[in-house]
Amino acid sequence: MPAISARGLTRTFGELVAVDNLTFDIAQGEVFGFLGPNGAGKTTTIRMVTALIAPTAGACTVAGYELGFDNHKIRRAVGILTEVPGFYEKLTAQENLLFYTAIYDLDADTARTQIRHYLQMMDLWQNRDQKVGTFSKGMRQKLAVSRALLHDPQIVFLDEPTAALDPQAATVVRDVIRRLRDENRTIFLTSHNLHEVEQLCDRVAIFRRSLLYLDTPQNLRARLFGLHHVVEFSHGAHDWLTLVQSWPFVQEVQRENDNLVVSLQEPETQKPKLIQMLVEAGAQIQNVYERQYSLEDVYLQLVNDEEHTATEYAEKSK
Amino acid sequence: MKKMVAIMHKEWLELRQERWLVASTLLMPLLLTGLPFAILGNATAETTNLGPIADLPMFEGFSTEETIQIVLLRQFLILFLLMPLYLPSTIAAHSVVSEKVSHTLEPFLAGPVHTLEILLAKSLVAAVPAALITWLCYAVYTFGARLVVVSDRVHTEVFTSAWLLAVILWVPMLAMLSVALGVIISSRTTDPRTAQQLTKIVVVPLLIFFFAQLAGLLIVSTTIVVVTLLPLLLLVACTLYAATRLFDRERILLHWG
Repeated sequence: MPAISARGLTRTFGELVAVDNLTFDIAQGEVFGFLGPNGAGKTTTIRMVTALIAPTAGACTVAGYELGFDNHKIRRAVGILTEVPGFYEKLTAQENLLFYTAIYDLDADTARTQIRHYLQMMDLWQNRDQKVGTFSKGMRQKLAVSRALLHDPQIVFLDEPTAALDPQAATVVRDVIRRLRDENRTIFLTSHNLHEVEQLCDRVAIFRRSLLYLDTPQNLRARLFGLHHVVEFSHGAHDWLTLVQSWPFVQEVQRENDNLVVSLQEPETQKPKLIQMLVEAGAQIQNVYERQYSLEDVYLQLVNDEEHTATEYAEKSK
Repeated sequence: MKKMVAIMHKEWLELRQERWLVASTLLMPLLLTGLPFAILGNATAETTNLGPIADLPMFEGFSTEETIQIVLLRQFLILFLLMPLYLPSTIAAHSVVSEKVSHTLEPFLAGPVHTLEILLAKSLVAAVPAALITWLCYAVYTFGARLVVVSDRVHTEVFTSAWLLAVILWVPMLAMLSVALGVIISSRTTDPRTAQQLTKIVVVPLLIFFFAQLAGLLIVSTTIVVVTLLPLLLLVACTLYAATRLFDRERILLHWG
C-alpha cells in the first residue's frame, strides 16, 4: 500500500485553479521531491494532503487513511514542517515543544525523551531554555524540524527545510533526512535547492498547478536530454562536423568551440566506433566524455517549456 | 481534555508575559470600579437633580441624599454585567492575533486536535479571567460602597442578595456568551481585529437592561435571576454549539494564517 496516494486532487480558490487534477503515488520509505516555481501550488498541495484544507475535487489516502473521512487520524500520522516555521515567541524552545507533545498525545516521559533526542540531534539542547523570539532563522528552522518529528510520524512533509540555513545547519538537516530515510519513513520534500533534491530524493515530481513530470532524477535527465558525448579536439572541430553528420549511427551533432557534441543511437557500442573512425580519419582527439545534466537543467527546461506553452496558448486565445 | 489543558496552559504562559495586555485589560475594570466613587463624591442634593426618578414609589421613606446614592450605585451595577462581555473579546482577539503574527496557526491546526477542544480551551482562557476580574471588581465595589454610603440601608437597598446571585451566576455565562458570539462573528470576517470590534455589539442588549433599570421598569430580584438562568444557559449552549459548527479551520488558516 502506498504511503500517499492522490487521485485527481484539485483545489480552486474562486476562479483560480491552484492545483489541477494531481495524481501520484508515494511508496512507504520513499523520499519524494516536489518541485515547482513559486506560486505553483506546492504549499496548497501539502495543505490538502495533510488535511489542513479540503480539496475541491479528487481523493487521497495518507498512511491508509482517507482524506475527508479520517482527517484526525491523518493529522496524527504525519509530521509537517511548514513553509514559515512559526513559534510562540515568548515561550522557550522546550515550552514550545512540550506544547506540541501534548497536542500529539505523548506521555510526559516520552515527551521529555523525544524533546531531548531531537534538540540534541539539531544541536539546540543548550538553547532549550532560551525564548524562541531570540533564536536566529537557522535555529528556528532546526527547531521546526524537531517539532515535525517529535511524535515519530511515518510520513514527514518538509516544505523547504534548508531555506535560510547556513551551510553547516543545512548539512545537519540533510543528515536528519537521510537518517529518516534509513528508518524507512516517507518524506515529501519541497525545495528550491535542486542539488539537495538530487542528493536526497528517490523520485522527483515537477509541478506547476498540475504534474509536468514524475520520475527518478536520472530518468528525468535521460528522458529530456538523452545521452550526449563531448569530443574535444586539439584544433579544428569544424573540419569534422560534416563527416560526423554523415555517419548513419549518429543521431545528432553540434559544434561547440573546439568540441563536437554527439548524440548516438546506441552509446555503449557506438562510442568506441565513433572514436576509432575519427582517429582513422586523422582527427587529433584530446578527450571524450559524457555530458552530465543536473536536475537544475532538467527543471529549468521543463518549467520554461511549460511557460512557453502557456504563453502561446494565452496568445492564441486572445 | 489533556489537549485542552495543554492549550490553556500555553495561553496562560503567553498571557503572563504580555504585560501591556494584562495592564490594558485591567485598566478598564479598575476605572469602571473607581468611577462610581468619584461621581458619588460630588453627588449631593444641591448638585444632583434626579427629576421624576426621585418620585418613584420605591424610594419612599428615603432622604434625597439616600435616594441619589441608591440611584447612582444601582446604575453602576450594570457595569459588572458589561465587564464579562467586554473583557473576553480583548483576550480572545489577542490569542488569535498573536497566532497570526507568529505564524503558529498552521502547525497548530495541522496537529490532531479537535475543533471543539481548540474552541473550548481558547474560550475558557478568555472567559475565566474575565469572570474572575469582574467578581473581584464587584467585591471591591461592594466593600468600597460601604465606606461612602450615608446610611447602612442605602447599602442594603443596592447590594441585594439578588444582585450578588446575578453577578455570581450571570457573569461566567455572559463571558462564555461573549466569546462564542465572537467566534461566530470571527468566522464571517477576514481579520481578527475587525472581529474584535464587531464583538463589542454584544453589549447592545444590555443597554436595554440598563435603561429599563434606570426608568425603574426592571428591578433585579432573586426570581428574575433564577427564572432567566435556564434560558441564559440554553442561549450560551446554543451559541457555543453554533460557534463550533461555524469555526472553520480552513477559513481561519487561509484568511488569518
